[in-house]
Amino acid sequence: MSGWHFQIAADGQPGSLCLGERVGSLDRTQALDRFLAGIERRAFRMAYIATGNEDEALDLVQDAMLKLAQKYGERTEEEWGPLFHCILQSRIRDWYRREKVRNRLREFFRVSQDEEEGEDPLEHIADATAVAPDEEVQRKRACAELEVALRALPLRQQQAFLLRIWEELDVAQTARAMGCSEGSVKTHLFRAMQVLRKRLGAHWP
Amino acid sequence: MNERSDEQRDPLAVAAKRLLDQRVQELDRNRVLAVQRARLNALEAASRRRRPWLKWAGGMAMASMVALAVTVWTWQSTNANHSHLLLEDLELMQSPENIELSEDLEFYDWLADGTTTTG
Repeated sequence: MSGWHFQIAADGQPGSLCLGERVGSLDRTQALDRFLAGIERRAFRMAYIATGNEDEALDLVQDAMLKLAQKYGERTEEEWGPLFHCILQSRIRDWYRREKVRNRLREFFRVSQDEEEGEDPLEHIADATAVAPDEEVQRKRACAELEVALRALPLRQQQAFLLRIWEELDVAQTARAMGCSEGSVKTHLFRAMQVLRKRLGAHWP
Repeated sequence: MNERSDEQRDPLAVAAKRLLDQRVQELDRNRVLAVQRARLNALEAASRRRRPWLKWAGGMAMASMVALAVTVWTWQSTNANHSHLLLEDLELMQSPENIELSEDLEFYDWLADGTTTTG
């Protein structure tokens, strides 16, 4: 459709150009909507694994979407994926920094964190007594174990693992999204794999 | 997307990816709706930001409306005052007492003039 837009613009008619621009803009918005709809759930899960809080995860994802739409809506669709992850990971890192400060303040004022902690990861572990096929129970348990292990990883290792393994970004794209060198990405991923292997055990999943 | 690296082909990585994908499919309806709402909010806010002239246009339209209303109101009130004065003038001209008043004025004028000459 953008080709059609350029065709109209090439006619040199101001009215057509204006209409073409409007149509082009509408197409971009629709394309962006489709792109975001395609990644929103994974982005939410990724933010949730990082924060352990659904509301925070939603805020981070919405912020990342907003910035992508505002600043990079005119970029090519191929660029949206890496750009979105770059923004989202940046938001997650900011959240981590703020959270560290908050935790320090909480410790300073000796506020009980029992009520303020996020969801208990153990809640996600499937109830083994529930009536369900063995395979399904095993799968859910494997999911929960993986999520707990991922959340326990240092942020950089978690980001490297999720971007490289889940999102299948290449090393350069991951480095850009994480704001570090390609060598660091490889190191973080290597360590993440080691830690996960150790925590999940040889018989996982 | 890209050619798979050794890490991506690792059984642990393959299993992790599969489970993470499945977990996404299992998101409950409320969470899915919340994420969709977040997307719509983001797109709406972005489109609002992309058209700042709309805010100016809205402000200009409002200012024009206020200016027009003030002008019309002033013009009407001014006209109303004029018509009121015009009516009063007509009444004065039609009334016989007013002729007497104007005659009296001439008398007072003559009297004042006489006082100055005799004094």
